[in-house]
Amino acid sequence: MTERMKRREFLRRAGIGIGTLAAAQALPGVTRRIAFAQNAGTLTYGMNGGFDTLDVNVTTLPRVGRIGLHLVDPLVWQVRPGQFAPGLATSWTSSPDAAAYTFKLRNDVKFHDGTPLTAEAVKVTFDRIMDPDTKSQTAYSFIGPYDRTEVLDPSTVRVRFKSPHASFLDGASSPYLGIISPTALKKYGRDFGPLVFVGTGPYLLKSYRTDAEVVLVRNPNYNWASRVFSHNGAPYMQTIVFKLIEEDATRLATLETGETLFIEDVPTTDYQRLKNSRNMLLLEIPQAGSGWSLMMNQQRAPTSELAIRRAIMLAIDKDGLVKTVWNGVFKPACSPLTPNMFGFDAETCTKASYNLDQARRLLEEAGWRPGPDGIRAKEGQRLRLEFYSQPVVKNQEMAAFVQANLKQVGIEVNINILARAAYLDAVRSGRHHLQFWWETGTDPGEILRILFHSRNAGGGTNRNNYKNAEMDRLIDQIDATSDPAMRKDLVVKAQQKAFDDAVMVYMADPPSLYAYDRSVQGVWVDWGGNYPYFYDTRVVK
Amino acid sequence: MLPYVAKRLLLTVPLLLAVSVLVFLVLHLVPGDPAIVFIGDREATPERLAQIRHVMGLDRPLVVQYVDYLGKLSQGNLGRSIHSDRPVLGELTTRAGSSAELALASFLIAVALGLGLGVISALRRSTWIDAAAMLVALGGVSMPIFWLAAMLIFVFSLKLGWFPATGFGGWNRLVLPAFALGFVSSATLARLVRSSVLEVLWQPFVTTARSKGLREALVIRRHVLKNAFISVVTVMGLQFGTLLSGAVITETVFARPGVGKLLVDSILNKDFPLVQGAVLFIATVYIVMNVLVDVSYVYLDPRIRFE
Repeated sequence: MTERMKRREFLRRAGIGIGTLAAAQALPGVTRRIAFAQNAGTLTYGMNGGFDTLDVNVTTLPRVGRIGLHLVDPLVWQVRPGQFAPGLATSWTSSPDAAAYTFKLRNDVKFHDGTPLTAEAVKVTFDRIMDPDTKSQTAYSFIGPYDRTEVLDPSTVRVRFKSPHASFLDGASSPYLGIISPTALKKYGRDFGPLVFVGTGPYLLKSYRTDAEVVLVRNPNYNWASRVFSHNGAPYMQTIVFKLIEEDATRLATLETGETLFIEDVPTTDYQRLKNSRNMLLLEIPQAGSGWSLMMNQQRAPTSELAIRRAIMLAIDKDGLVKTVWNGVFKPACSPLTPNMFGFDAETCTKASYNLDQARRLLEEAGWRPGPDGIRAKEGQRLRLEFYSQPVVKNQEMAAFVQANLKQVGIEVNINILARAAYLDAVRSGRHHLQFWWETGTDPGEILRILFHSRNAGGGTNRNNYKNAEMDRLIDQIDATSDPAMRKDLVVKAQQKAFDDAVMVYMADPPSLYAYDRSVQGVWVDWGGNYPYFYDTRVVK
Repeated sequence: MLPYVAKRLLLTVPLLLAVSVLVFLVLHLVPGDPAIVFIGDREATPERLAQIRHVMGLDRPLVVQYVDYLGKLSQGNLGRSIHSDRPVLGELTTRAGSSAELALASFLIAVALGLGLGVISALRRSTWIDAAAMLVALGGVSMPIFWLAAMLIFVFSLKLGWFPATGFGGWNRLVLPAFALGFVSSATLARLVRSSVLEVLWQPFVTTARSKGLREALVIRRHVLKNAFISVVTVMGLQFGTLLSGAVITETVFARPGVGKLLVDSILNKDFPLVQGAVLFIATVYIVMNVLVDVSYVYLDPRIRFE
């Protein structure tokens, strides 16, 4: 009897399963919300992928910065492009040449291990970033031409640079230059970062299970919040769990089942559905930095020719690309800087619009004539470009789009998809003609340096291998100028120069896309869109 | 048999040594500098790259690097990841639990389904039951696991809410990934069981057993299955190794930590110590499984003796 009931129950359930599947197909958007939710005091965050370390001073991943911002406090907070508010520092001054910065620190701050924050801790943090043994990545580039830190008194510290470094405050406002506990560093040695982390932030590291989750708990003693936030004292949420869910569809599913309350990197294919959702909210913030673009290697023929690079600029249909690959969620890009960056030159948007005829004309004038199969050639050399990319679906889609675009004007593109190590090997040694770039950051000088400075050519980040003395001078001046008006002028000039020399093709500016449950309130996100911060956050059922 | 097992286990030492040399050489022969992979798309001067190489210990001659590695290994020290600086042993043990849990659960499902479907279809050959069972097996063989995994999440997490979509810890988080992985691997097993059983079913000793008047169930269990299982057990052993180390897609879709994913990530990062550690772990699992399979032969076929 019970056996029969069980079988019947099984068949009933199987029927429900199949029936629901059918019904779900017929009625998209009808979802039963199921509670796999954690305790009321817990915010579970769905992250797209794993991380290298928990140490903000060492990592290369923005994801670690996202977690780490809860564990450390930055010296200053950046409220708007180039505008700073007190963090661990109550006040600060910079020398006229932007090569020395003096910070007055709060004297009521304690690390998670109970030791007080002193000027010495700032020195230890910065010196450690410079130590090659630390293998610091993002922090190392933010700290730039660091020379030394001088402890003037227990709560005053001066950071000196070997050359002007006007973007230092921008770096100091990021999680990556957050201050760590010297006592804990000494105590844990090599395990500091990989296994433990001690800062001054509103949350403490409770546990870390590699490739699974990072659990933070509220710092009950936290009483030094910046005035940027709406309250002071301990954070509202008891626990934050950062769960690693790499698969886009799964991450989104966990938000719908209640397993997570907040997720990052919402796929653009789900953008509309989430916009129309009643239970979930979409958070869309234009990402600061440099959008998706195409680098063209100037040290290899034929992309060494200005006419070819100009023709490529004109032949890529950015509107089409944004619609086809990015579901219309990304915006067509104009400049190496995204429109929300300090000094963005709006005029760049009027300069190079999609124009196939003009592209063809430029190629004709340069002596590239179409062959029998439509692909151009000059002096027996076929116009064929090698495009290197990593096996990321969206990159492959963009590469295919570019390939189709360029074929229309008689340029053949050969796409090489390589795994990370082989890809880096190829592009760093300059075997490519074309490759993608994307960069996030909030200081225009830093971005321009990464893309265009000759110091970064020949194997570095400037895979355009663009070397131009005037551009170098402009970029160096940007970093030596703290006056906003003068700085803006230089940033605009550098963008114009990059346009005149047809260095890169700017294709699509992405937003940072987060989604969260309606019950989550009070999430702060930096203006650059990279760091959702849950200090003021509550979950209101 | 004990001396045999001891000898086999002793042989694993040179085997593992050979595996480690091979992995070490292959990793160094394929293009790509770990320091460059580490720096990736960050700014780095050639001097900085040289510093990183030095810190990672990659500027030493290959032989020195390998001997150093072996020296540490002999003391049970697998070293630290050159990327994350975390101890390799810790990286492995934190994932091995999750991998073992998934492998065991999916293995049980695979064996139950595979044996069930295979035996039934063999015994009911050329009936609709045989056709249906083999259709299910065909589905398992041809279904991409990421699709099955996504559909399971869609139906059982999103629509019915019976099981959570992700994670690790707690039986309810294990059901969907174990079923996805188990169902797909049960298919090959079912087909193998079917053909093995069919082969034995018409052997003279089965006819003899029947003519002795033994009950049919006993004939099947004692004479047919036991003899059909020699080849099946071999495949099952290998399959367990694959379930433990090759469940990368399942682990990714269901967001579970695992040895397979660790190995893939460490290869992409060219993280030598981590790849070495993961490969040695997986090799050990395969070796142990093979020994167990060999030992099981004695039970299945008394004619086999280990001397």
